[in-house]
Order: sequence, then C-alpha cells, then structure tokens
Amino acid sequence: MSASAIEFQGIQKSFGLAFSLGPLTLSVPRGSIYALIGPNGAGKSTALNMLMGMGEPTLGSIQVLDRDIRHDEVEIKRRTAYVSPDMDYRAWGTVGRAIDFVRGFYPDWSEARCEELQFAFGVHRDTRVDALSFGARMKLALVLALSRDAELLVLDEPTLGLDAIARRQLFAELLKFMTGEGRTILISSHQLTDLERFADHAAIVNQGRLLTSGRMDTLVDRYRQFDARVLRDTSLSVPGVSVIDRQGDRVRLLVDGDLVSADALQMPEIEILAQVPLTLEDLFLALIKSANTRSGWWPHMSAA
Amino acid sequence: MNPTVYGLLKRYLARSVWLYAFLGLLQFMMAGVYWWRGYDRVPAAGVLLGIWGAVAALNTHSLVWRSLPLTPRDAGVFRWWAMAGAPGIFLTLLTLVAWASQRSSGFPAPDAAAILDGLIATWAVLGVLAMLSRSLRRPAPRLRQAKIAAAIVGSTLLLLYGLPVGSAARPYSMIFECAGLMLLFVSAVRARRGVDWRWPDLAGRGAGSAPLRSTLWGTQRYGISVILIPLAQRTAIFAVVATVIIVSLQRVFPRASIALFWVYFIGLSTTAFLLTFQVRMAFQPLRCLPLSVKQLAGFLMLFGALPGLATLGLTLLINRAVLSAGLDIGQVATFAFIIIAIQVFPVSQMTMPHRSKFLEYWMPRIQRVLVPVYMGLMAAGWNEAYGRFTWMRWPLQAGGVVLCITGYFVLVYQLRAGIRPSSNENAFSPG
Repeated sequence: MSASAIEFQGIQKSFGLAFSLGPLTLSVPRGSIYALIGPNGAGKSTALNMLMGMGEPTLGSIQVLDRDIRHDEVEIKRRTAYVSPDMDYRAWGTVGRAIDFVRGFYPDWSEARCEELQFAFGVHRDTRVDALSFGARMKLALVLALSRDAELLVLDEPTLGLDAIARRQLFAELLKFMTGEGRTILISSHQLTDLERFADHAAIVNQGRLLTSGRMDTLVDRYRQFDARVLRDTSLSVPGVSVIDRQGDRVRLLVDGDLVSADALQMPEIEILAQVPLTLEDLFLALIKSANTRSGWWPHMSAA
Repeated sequence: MNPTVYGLLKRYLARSVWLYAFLGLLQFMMAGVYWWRGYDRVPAAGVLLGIWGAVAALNTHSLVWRSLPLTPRDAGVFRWWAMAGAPGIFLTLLTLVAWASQRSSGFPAPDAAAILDGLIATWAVLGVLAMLSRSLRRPAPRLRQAKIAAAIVGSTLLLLYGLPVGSAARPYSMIFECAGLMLLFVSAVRARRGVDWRWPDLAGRGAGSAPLRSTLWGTQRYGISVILIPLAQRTAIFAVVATVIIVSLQRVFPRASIALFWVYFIGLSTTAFLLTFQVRMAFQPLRCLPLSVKQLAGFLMLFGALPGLATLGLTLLINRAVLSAGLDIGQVATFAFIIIAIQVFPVSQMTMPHRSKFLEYWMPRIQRVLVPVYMGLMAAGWNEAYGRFTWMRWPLQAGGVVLCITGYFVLVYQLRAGIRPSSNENAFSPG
C-alpha cells in the first residue's frame, strides 16, 4: 500500500482553445484531509471528475487507492464516496427511494449510520426531493456518501448552500469519518476559513496549473506578509517578493520564505512597518493575484 | 443476468409499469382487431417500449449514475434487457395470452404459424432497435429534438399500421426477420461482452467554449421575442418536415389516410408539447420581466399553446387538402381549448403551498386528469363515436372554455403562491 491515496501524474485535459487543465502533478497522502483550492474555472471540478472516472485525461495518469482509474474505475468507485452539487436525485422522487437505489450498490452500506445521518441532517425518507431546498439536497448527497465505509471521500463544494449549523454538522461528521483507519478526504471548496481549520494539506490551483501545495501549517509558515512604506515611483524586482496591495506609498508585501529571507527587504527604498498575520485566504488571494499579473511574480510598481 | 442487473431491471420495470400497461393494452386490443379483420399485420408496440428503454434505462449524464460502481458490462446488459429483452418477453407473453383468450372465447384467431411469424417479427424489430441504439453519443440539442420527433412519428406509424407479416409480405418479411434476429443475437453478445457501453466524458462539461449560434434573422432580440421567435421557428420547421413526410406517405399508402392522419396529429402534437419546454425553460427570466402576474400567466398559456395551436391548424389544412379523415372545425376548436388549458399542467403542483384544503386535494387530481381526457377525446374521434354523437360537441367545447378560464386563474394563483423555479424547470426530468 503506497503512502498516497491519490496520485495525479502529469495529467492534462484540453477543451479546444478555451481551457486546458494541467500539466498537473499532485499527491494526496493517505490519511490526510486535503483541500483543493482555486478560483472559479481553475479546473478543480474537472480534476475531481477525472478522479472519479467521469472523463479521461488527454495525457498523464491518475492512481486512486493504488489503482489506475482507467483500468479499475469500478473498484475505485466502490471504495470512494463522491459528493457534488451537480448530483441530482430528483428523478428518484422521494429521499427514501434515492437511498434505496444507492444502497443496493454498496455491500458496506450501514443502515444504522444512514438513519443516524438522516436524523443529524434533518433529511426524511418521505420527503420529495424536488421539495428540498438546495442546501437540503446537498445534505442528502452527504448522507448517501457517509452512510458507508468508504476509504476515500471526494467532496466537490460540499458546503455550497449549507447554513452555519449544517456546515458545522458536516465538519463534525467528516471528522468522525476520519477516525477510521487510512481514511482520506479530498475537498474542494471556496470556504477558505473552514478549510484552514479543517484540512491538514492544501493545494492551490489556478488556470489549470498547480501554484503551490503542501502541509497547511508549513504552507502558511512559508509565506510572510508585511505592511511597508515605499518611496514613490520605486520599481523593485526582488524574486520571491510580491506586492499584494498598494495605496499611495503604503504597500502590502508577500514574501516567499523558501526563495528569499526577510532581510532582503532591508533596502533604503522600503520601510517595514509591521508583519501582518497571514491566513489561508490572504495567501490564496496573494498567490492568485501574483499569478494573474501579466508581468510575472514581481509586478512593476508604479504610482497608484 | 447478475444481481446488480436484476436489481436495476426490477426498478426500471417498476417505474415503467404505466407505459408497459398502456402499450400492452393497446397491443392486446389491436392484435384482436387485426385477427378479427384478417389483416396480415402485427402491431409493433415493442418499438415504443424499446425506445423508452434506450432513453430512460440509464441516465448517462447524471453524476449520480456516474458515481456508482457499475461496470460497463453490467450497464450494457441492463440496457439490452431494457431495450430488447424485457419488451420482447412481455409482448410474447401478451400475444400468447391474447391468442389463447381469442381461441377460448370463440373469436377468430390465426393459426400457430402466423402467431410464430408475428412473434419473430416483434423480436426482429427489437433486434434492429437494440443495434441502432448502441451509440451513446448525445447529439446536439436541435438534432436530438429532430431525432425524438422522427422516432415518435415512426414508432406511432408502426404501432398503428403494424408490421406486414404472413404470405403476402414474403420474402421481404422473412429477410427482415432473419436480419433482425441476427442483430438481436449480435447485440446481446456485444452487451454481454461489455463492448458497446462506454460512459460519456463529463469532465469537460461547461469548460468548452460556447458554440456559435446562428439565428434565422441573425439580429439581437429583446423582450418576449427572445422566446417567441425560436419557438415559432422550431414549430414551423417541425410542421413543414412532418407535412412533407405525411403527404409522401399518403402517396405510397393511399388507403391509409385515417391512420396517417392520426400519426400526423399525434406525432406533431407530441412534438409541440415538447416544444412548450422552450417556454418552461425560460420560466425564471420570464418571472423577472416587468410583467404583472396576470400578464405573465396569459403569456405563459399562449406561448405554451402556440406550437399545439399551430399544429392543429396545419392538421386541419392537411386533412382538408390531402387526407380527408373527417376533422371539422368543431373538433379543432375543442382540441384548441384543451391545448390551451393543459398549459397549466407542467407547472409543478407538488411543492405548491395551497391555502385551501379543497384546492390542495383536488388540484393535482384535476391536472392529472387533463391529459388522459385529451387522449380520450382523440381516441373517441378515431372510433367515430364522437362523430355520431354530435350533441357531445357543445358540452365538450363549453368544458374547454371553462378549462381555459379556470386554468388561467389557477396559473395566476400558482404564480402568486410562489413556485420554486428550480423544481419547475425540470418537472419532467428523465430517468
């Protein structure tokens, strides 16, 4: 058994000229809660769909639970649970019928667990699916995913439409899920505050490419954020230092600790005012902003 | 058949029982009529059951289905049973029961060889269908609509006219039966090997660039015409194509005018009913337009009814010009009222909060009765019962007017009650 639950090996997926994913190489450690973060259209859902065999990569390979998705799609699906806001159970009529249908495919289905989850999420068997709100439909999808003994949980925007109570309930259930041996969760969400507390690993993708990845604590520790004052018309080009925001002569800088030390900012043009605590959301915004700036990692600083 | 396929098939048959019952009854009655009149034909309800199996057995673009651990072999075998196996067994048993009951009650019934010939023809049709429906590639929406319309018209024609069998149709019927059985066998073997089934690629949904759309007039549209013009275009295209086909068929089968008329009417009115989705799909944008609830209800009813009314007008014209099946203005008016009134039907009634207990109980029932009434009127017209009882026209037309007016106020009430647009848009979602 390898240490990785999921291995994306140089996968690429092209959709004409409009969008292409990859090349993406990513490893999700077994037993981790892995957050896949990215702006809208970054390719997160495409990657997750390919992971579940819903589309084939143009190039590269995907290993899930030590199996190749091309050859062992069914076995992988048996051991993996998937939740997406696009999963539509309305065709089954009632919640009970949807549960009965899905249950038939999984020998490891736990009826007691299913009932417990229905109670916890407030989803009732007799309710018609089309009478459920969007959030309640997500809860149904979560009940169906968590009612069995899956090794891997793939969650695409699971908090979409959920209120604060349901979100807290969800994370409690996910933590309960993680108490099992060798369980892994891959979660894609825009709720970065939740992810920062919940996940232990993260990867940030943008325009189909991986920007950074690693353990959550090391990822946040690697970068530092400073408020500084700079002389007007200063054009700085220090690799590993990025301007996140500028208001007159005040700037907010992001420093990549792996590339440059904080001493590199000891320059006559820059006066460091304070080090600002960095959250995952700050880091995400800074990295995406930097990546999207046409001039590259170090943007040209002109007067604001 | 393994337990997974058996479980899937059991659920599929449970949710298709209404169609099996309806078409089974039709096949039973039509077989009796053919035997009584001595026609060398066999009704082909299997085509509709097979098409239903091909379309409804597996929802290939549903993430729910796609996330299930279902092997391509199981999916292929299940689909084959839904398309060919189950309809074939059902119709075989039904034909044998019909034959036994006809013989035991002293009604005319063909000999065993003719029955066997009919059964082989039924299986052959299912074989052809199973082979044709292997492809899973989803056509473009316009082509899909055209395919659905063609399939409905073709299968209704086969259902009503039947398949020619017996000595008069030989050797063509024998060639068809041999080829059909061979295709049935090949499709079964291919399904068992799992070579036919391949799930479509869903990873790219929404990621590709939007296709360039051309319109007939190519100009930017605003307001209500955004919905009205495409609706009128599609109605006109379907009506013209159907008219050309039916006039051509009338030249080939000059004695089948009445059957052709009903094929034309049922095919086109069904297509027109599907076209009203153009309006239903635009429900959310329509609700955002600066229109009062009463105006919106009026537009919804009129726009929804437009394809049906256009079809009806064309049917009347084509009947007078070519088919002479006996449709008159009174019947047309009755149908028109019903077409307008049933526009209230697709608006979801299940989630609507009713203030009145009476409405809560009766409204869904009334809405469900409207379509059978519509079908019943057509059937009555076909059996000439309607033609004999001329006094029936007035109450039917008065009933139609009442239905229209009531329907309008029901729609206004529904719009005011606040329907969930999300549940309304997919009121008839497949699967």
